[in-house]
Amino acid sequence: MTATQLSAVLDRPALPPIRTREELIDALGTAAELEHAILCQYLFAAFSIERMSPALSPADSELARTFMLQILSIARQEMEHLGIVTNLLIAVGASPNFDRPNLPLQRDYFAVDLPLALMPFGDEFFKITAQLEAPCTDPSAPSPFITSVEAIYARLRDAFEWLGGPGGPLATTLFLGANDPQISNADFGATPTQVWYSLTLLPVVDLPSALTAIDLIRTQGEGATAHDPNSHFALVRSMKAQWDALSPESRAALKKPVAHNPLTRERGDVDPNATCAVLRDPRAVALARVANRAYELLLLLLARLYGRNDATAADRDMYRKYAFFPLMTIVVRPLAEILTDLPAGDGEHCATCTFEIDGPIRTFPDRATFQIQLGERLSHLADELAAIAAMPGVSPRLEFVAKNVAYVRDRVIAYAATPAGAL
Amino acid sequence: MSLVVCQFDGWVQVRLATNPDPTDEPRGVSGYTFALPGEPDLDRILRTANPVAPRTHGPPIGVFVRTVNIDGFTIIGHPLVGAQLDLLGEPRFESVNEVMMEQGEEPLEPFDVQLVQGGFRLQRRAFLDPSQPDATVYTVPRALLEPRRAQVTLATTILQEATGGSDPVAFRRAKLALLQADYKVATDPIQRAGLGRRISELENNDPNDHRTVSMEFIESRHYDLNGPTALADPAGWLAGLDTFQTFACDVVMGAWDSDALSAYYTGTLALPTH
Repeated sequence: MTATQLSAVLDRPALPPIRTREELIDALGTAAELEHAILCQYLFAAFSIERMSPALSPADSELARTFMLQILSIARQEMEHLGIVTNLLIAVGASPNFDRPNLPLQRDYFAVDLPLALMPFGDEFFKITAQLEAPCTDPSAPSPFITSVEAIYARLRDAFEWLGGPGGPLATTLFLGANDPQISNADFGATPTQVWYSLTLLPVVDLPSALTAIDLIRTQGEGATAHDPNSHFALVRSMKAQWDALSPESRAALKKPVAHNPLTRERGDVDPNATCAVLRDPRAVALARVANRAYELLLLLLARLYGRNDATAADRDMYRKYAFFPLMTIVVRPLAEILTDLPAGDGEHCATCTFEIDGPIRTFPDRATFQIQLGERLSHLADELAAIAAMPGVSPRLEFVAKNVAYVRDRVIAYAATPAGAL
Repeated sequence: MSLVVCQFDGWVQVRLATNPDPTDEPRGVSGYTFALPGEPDLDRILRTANPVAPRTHGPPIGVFVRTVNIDGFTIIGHPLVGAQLDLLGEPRFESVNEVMMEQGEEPLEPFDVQLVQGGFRLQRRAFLDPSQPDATVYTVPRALLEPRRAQVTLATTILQEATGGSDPVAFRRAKLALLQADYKVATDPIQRAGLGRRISELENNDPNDHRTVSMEFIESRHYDLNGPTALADPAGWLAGLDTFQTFACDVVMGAWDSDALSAYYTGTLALPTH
């Protein structure tokens, strides 16, 4: 059924085109939340791949690594998309949006008809990503729902051109925040169009750069044609073909026994019709909650990095330094991996990261109060990780994570105590 | 007083995970370095000898004294020429995903140098804090850690010295051809899986990619060897060695070959004598 037919059946009007700045900001906010949710889906699937089991043949072991590498690479590009959408938000005078609904997403949330759920690697994962990444036959067709990611960007592109193009109502004022801080390749010492760690973070300062940024997202991912071998659609399709060609024994060996849609507690803000699995093992619950707090802290740092606030250049350097490497690489990912070594507590599954957010991601307007709270949050994380590391049956790797969080905490507190701020 | 300066060079092996993989990632996934099927886990140790699972078409691992100068004059045939330089104590690069320092600038700890030639042996360590020999990168004050930060430049000089060529893309392309030829005749499944991974990495030969650019990284580090000196010098090659002074050791690492997990290592060790 086409989107137009669906509209008629449901007697629901198609989504109107975006014709004001506030509608544009709302739509960009939705895009940010969807990109954020999608990247969590990919991270979740990547961490569910078994790549070190002695049961894997050398070839299957390499295939498992390739699957994980490709999925993490797609996840990083979804992070890039979130970063670019955030640059678009800043450029039109809005604040960043690192909120998102918990997964599995309630149907019709944001008028979205996309499969957004935490599915482990395997058939279920390929089923939802095939729909998510499929090119849209007519992304501009009127529809009451967002039925493809490409349609989101087609609508946004039209809005930017209509509002900010020649003769548009905001032709001279659309990019109110063009000079406000964004994150781009330059912040990492990369050239403007260089691809580093699979990323190209484009700044947005005017209509041409906004359209270029939107086109990059469409080309890289869901909007790419089936002929582009590097598009997410093509990569997922290629992975699925490799997966389908495996023997049932190899497929079983490549998957950790991860449950669908894990949660640390019953929640009212997820799809009530979806099958969810609440973790029961006390160590798993404790560690999953701390992992979520670490992930939330990362988002708080990002929220301070974008847009105009009282952060100094040294502050931003510190936020960027800790958000993009230690928190992503030596905290969140290891915690997700360590969790899968623990039982879920249902006698069937292993634990895993749940990517739950317990409230809005706040933006802190004042540097001094933020830095105090940053130190407090890092202290809590370090203490809680050390306590869980002391529990029986927990991977000794967690001690290493705890030690590094404690070190970062000490550095952040020392930084805050230095008048000019110096790492 | 005289200053004996030993100039050394050679290749070292460093089997480490690279960003954005976690520092303690054992096999390598999202960075550009990997432990291949059949190889032990990555361990971040810089090895000056006895490489672990050395890869085909990689350089020979070993660092040796090439020349000896005394007060600026090269001493032809000095008995220390050819001495093996080892770094003891399983030194590791301690960036820890930039918890400590940016990758490339991070300290290498411990730094404990040994020179061996026949019955001659000289060993001395550069402690982060000589008053606290057990101090680690995690416990030492930053003021004592900062001097261990490497100066990083981007140039082809070390690559040229190490490989005879200055084009990383050409170096990787030539290696790719060798491995593709090996793959055609390989039958062992473990060997084929490993070659397949190496080939797929070398096929990414974008001149702006980390794999390629990092061949031009030149990391320079300075150490003052300040620990107790252990010296066995039966023939008196370093007669009058002044162990009350620190020994300055300057090292440069470059030509990082991420396929072979190897780098060129060159530098000088200055030994004051009475």
